[in-house]
Amino acid sequence: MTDYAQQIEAYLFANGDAVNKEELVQLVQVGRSKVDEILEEITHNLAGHGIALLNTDTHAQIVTSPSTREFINTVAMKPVQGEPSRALMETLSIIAYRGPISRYEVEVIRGVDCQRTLRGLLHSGLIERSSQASPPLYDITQDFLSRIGITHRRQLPKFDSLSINSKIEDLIQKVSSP
Amino acid sequence: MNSSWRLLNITIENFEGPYDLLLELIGKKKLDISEISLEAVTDKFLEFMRDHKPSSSSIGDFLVAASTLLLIKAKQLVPTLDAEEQEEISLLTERIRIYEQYRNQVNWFYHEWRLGSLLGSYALKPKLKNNYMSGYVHPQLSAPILADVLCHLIERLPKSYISARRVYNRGPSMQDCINIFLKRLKRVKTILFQHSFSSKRFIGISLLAVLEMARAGHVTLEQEKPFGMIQIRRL
Repeated sequence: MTDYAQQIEAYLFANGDAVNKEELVQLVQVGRSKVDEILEEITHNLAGHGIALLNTDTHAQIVTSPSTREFINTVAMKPVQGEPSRALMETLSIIAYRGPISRYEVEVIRGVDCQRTLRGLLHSGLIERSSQASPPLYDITQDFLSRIGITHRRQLPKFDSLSINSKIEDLIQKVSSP
Repeated sequence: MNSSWRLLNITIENFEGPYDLLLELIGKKKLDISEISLEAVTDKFLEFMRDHKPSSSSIGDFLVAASTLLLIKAKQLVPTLDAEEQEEISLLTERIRIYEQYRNQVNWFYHEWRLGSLLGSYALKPKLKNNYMSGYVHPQLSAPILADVLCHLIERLPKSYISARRVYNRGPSMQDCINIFLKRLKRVKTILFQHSFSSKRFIGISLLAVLEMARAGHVTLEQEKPFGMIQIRRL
């Protein structure tokens, strides 16, 4: 294991919460792509362990591994928190597979206005919005990934076919064109 | 209203939009999503909309879907639609198919959600994370030591300075100005306004005083031309 990987692994463990990847860039003084490489290395090294690396586009966190989820939640006696409504979960499903995604694209797929739904999800911390893009883009947070027990969105079922789909790209193109 | 809907006690609020309702209707007929199946459920869809009236926030979405469904129905009577209308029908069919794919994943999300979260460090001991001193007491700590430390802290606090009060000369009030003018008008019959105050700071209050005297009938005011000298005459 490289020195950087050890340092970042230790930092994430000691921190406990999700850490912004830009903070890791400052911590070890390497570029962002190098940080992503290091995080992949940590992910690989933790395979089969009781802890895992939860990795989103913006944050990283060391968490209990999915394989121990049932055990640790029983030990912790943590009640399952209130689950989102169907409207929220449908929207989460679309954003999880296709994020970062604009509100318009979500509405093209769902066929309904999603302003209130997105606001609710933002408030709950399950998605975040990037205002730097125009239009603003929405994506899931590490909190949502940990709630559904996966450490990376690639682990979503049928991720390849639902994340990038030429039919969806064509559809959005057609609906958007005047 | 169709009795089967009443028995199922389903309202339009049970559906997450027109596509959800259409999928439900198509599913009941055990059909695949196609133009044919959409045509088959159009009447039921419109009936449901009529009987249950979508909310104001969703009615637009339902109406858009309804208009395309009616187009499908119209195709029965007018088999040849123009390219744009055919495209609209194809788009609706495609959108419902795509929506169904993501809707089908929702059950998986719920299943995983109910299994519980992945936990971060300190999740089992939140108190330890938030309060580093929880449960720890220095063996030599006592009240006299705490008092001594507090006194030293107070001595080390930066001294505060009380800034000197600054006194401002507020100048005469309007009544003061009126009294001054009346006193002078006892000696002379006419005063030129622009020559009657010692400082430009008092122009405003002096003018108010003069206007008030004119309103009260103590004096008359004359000015031969704009911005010219104002003559104040005693009455």
